[in-house]
Amino acid sequence: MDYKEYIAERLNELKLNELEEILRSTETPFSDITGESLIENFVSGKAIFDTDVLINSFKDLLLFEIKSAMILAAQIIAVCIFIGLLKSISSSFGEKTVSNIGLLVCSFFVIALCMKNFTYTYDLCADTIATMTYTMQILLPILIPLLISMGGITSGSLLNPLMIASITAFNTLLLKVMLPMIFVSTVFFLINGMTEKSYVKTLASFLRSAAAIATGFCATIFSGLTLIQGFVAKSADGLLINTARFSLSNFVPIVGGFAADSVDMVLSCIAIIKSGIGVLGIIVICSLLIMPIIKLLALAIIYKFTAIITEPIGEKNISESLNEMGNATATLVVILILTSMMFLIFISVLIGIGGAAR
Amino acid sequence: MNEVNEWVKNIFMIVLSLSFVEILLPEGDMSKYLKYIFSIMILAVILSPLRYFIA
Repeated sequence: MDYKEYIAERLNELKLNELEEILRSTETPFSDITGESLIENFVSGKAIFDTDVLINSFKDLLLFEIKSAMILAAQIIAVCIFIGLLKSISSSFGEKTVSNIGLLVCSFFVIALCMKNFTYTYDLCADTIATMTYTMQILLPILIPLLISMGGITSGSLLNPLMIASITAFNTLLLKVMLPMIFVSTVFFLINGMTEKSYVKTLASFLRSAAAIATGFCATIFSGLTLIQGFVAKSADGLLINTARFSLSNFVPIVGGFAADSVDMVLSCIAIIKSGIGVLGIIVICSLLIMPIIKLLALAIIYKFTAIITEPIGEKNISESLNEMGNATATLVVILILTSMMFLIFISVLIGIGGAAR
Repeated sequence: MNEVNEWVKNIFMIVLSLSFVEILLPEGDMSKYLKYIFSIMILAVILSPLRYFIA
């Protein structure tokens, strides 16, 4: 049997529809890649992506997001200009109380704008993390049986529960602890923008850095565990598969050598399929990540930029809290990147095991 | 989760209302004592989750 036929047959048995569906729904330049086209491309030695198209489309996307975030910036800057005006003509109101209340109302307005935007950002981040976890939960049941079928019995049975557990635990931790912490810290920073004295600023910065550090810590521990487990299991599997091949070719007379060779062919076909699906998984994770990250980065840039602009015209508090909003959005980006990094490490451990088991 | 929600909401409300009241305060000797009392109130609200650990 030809190796291409064999690969096509195996691919048909795998359920890649859901993965391809997720990839299609992301609407990135990758979205027309399927598992078959990917494997065909790298069996025949073609490139998977067109680099120029990729760079151009990302540049366009970033510019578009910055443009759409400009509306928010324009609203905030308009309010801040109004605050500056109010401050300078406050003496003609006679009483100071009136102008102070006016200033308070204006800062409420800025905070409401920021909060509305941040709720959207937060939902985007949580959705992305949930979708990435879902992708991993689809991908693992496809990859692990492939791994086991090419002789990685120890690694498959050791890594599967470990990976599923760490993915689920990480998802729950992020959605229930880290992201709410960042949300709370942002609320505190915004409260801080309204008052003259800072009451909760230190608490807010503590919460945010704690969330970022905890995420990094969890990602390191989970991926470290998986990596170590993967190394150990890899050598055990190498032993198994080499013993099988050796005894087949030496103890079965005459046909044993051919049988061992065809075992080799089947194994490398499965290895190709496995790395193909692994790469497909990496592409899905990356394309799930790209849109939110570009959006969040554009927002962070806009927040920082608005903080720079409002500093001379508006109040110091407001510009500071806008700056902190920018930092909070950047922290969300960091958390997204850490999460995807962990998932990518998992996938590459699974791909790597196949390559070295031979 | 509910407790955390409640806590954040409380802090938000107390800081907001006290900063509003602070503006309306008449100028005088009493205002700085009042401001001190306000800060104590905010401190009490911030520390309120401690009751779950003590009780």
